[in-house]
Amino acid sequence: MTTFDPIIRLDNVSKCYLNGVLALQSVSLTINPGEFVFLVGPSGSGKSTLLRLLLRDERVTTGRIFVAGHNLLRIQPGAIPQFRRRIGVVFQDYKLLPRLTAFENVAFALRVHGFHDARAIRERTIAVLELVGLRAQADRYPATLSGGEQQRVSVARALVTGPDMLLADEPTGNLDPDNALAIAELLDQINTFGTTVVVATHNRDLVDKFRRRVLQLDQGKLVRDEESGGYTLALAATGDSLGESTLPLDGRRPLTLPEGSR
Amino acid sequence: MLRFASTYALQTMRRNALMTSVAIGTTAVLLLVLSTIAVIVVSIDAGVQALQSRVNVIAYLKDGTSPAALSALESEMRSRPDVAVVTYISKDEALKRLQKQFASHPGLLGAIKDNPLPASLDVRLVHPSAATDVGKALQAQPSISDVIINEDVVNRLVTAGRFVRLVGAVMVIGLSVAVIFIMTNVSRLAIFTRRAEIEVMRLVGASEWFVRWPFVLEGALCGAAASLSSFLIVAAGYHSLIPVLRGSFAFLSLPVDPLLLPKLLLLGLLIGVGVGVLGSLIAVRRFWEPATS
Repeated sequence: MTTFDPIIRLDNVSKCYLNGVLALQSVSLTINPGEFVFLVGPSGSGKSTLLRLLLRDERVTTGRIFVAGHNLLRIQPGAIPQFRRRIGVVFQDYKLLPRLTAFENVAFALRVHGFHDARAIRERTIAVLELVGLRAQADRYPATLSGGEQQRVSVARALVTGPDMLLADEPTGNLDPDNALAIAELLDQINTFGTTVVVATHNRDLVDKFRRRVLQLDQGKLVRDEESGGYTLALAATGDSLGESTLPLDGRRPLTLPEGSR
Repeated sequence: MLRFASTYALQTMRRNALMTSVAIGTTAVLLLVLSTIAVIVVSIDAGVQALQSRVNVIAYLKDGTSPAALSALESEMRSRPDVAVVTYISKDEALKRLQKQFASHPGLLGAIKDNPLPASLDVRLVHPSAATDVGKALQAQPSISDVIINEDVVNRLVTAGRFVRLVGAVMVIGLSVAVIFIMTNVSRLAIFTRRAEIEVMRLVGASEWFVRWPFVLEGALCGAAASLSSFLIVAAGYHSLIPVLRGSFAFLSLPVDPLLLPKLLLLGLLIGVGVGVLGSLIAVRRFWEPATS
């Protein structure tokens, strides 16, 4: 392990929604700066909740959570925007502002971050659009772009401010395999620049292809933490059925699986 | 930040022209109804007041009242708080007025040798409701022979004035509340259709005021546009109607407040812009933080 302070640290984090749904149960994990992590697990396993907690879009019910040097239990509401500016976010449904062009959507993030110099905004935005391969589509509105192109704009928006960390929630969920691979390669490229990347995904092919650290959630519990892992545990040859065995966690700690986990 | 907010607000309004025009149109119609009723109420009230200010009490003096007694009576009347103006009309003055009225029939008055008209005091009142009190006070004076109050007209005018003002106030206040309520909902609806936008801004790390400014400016601009357009319609209608009304009811001489239209514009702008801004603030607040546990 590195000697850096972790950029993400969860100690026994549980999240119970107001409607009584227990989305996360006693999740503990650390992610170091510069890591690339796939967050996998079936729908409803708590992936999106975990990302929302990391963004302080939701609050933990019990446990402690530290992200980018902030204790998210203690953070003042007024400090949340500033905290979020250190994180880039990419969503399955892109979440672009429909009345702004691709260029304006990316530049918007810079303005939120307090950039005023029109020249700096223009040059940074164009550079990032070039990086995601959308320089030619800069003046088009989201509705006139394909899904893959919209997701690139969204990645460009997340990237343009130079965040410490990039969170992606099912970024390839609405894309065909070619576009999905292109987006994943883009995220991988961003990681090589030193940005921590956390990708929640269902996409088995991508996880298996990239062989990065895999965190697997099931029914709100962390059931696997594997370096260079695949979509499913390599040892469990039976596929998704993980059984009631103890599994290596982060190469150190065994973890007991919940009964009857899928 | 403000420069970006205004650019963004204008851009959004232009690119979202339908919603913008619906919001402006609804607001304009509501303000139009409100200001039309306000103008009607104010005009009627002005007419009633004009008539009321003509209500006076006439006290006829006994012939041979000494000048000392007269001036004592005059100053007593003037010192009353409910009396506005006291005018002495001598016997000669009264005759002259009569002659003027009969100017087209000079022969009629030619038959009169002695001046039969008594001198009188014309007492104008601060408010017509004081007519009975003032009349009684005058009647009690030894030098007064007779007091005339057109009580019936006075009472009707007082009642009419009160009624118009009460109904007018209730209507204007009630309508204002309705307008504010509806407009707040219009802007909430406009923002509701854009809650995804607010969510994106929030997640990208925008501060609350960064998100608010464009919406607040948009609300203010829509409100201003709506109040201006409704004002133009009311002003045009007012200017084309008033001459007609003056012609048909010349006796009223409608001394309507010359500042009525500027006041109306100010009120409309205040309501339009105020509600636009308030509605936006409420709506952004509403969509800013989702329910957190």
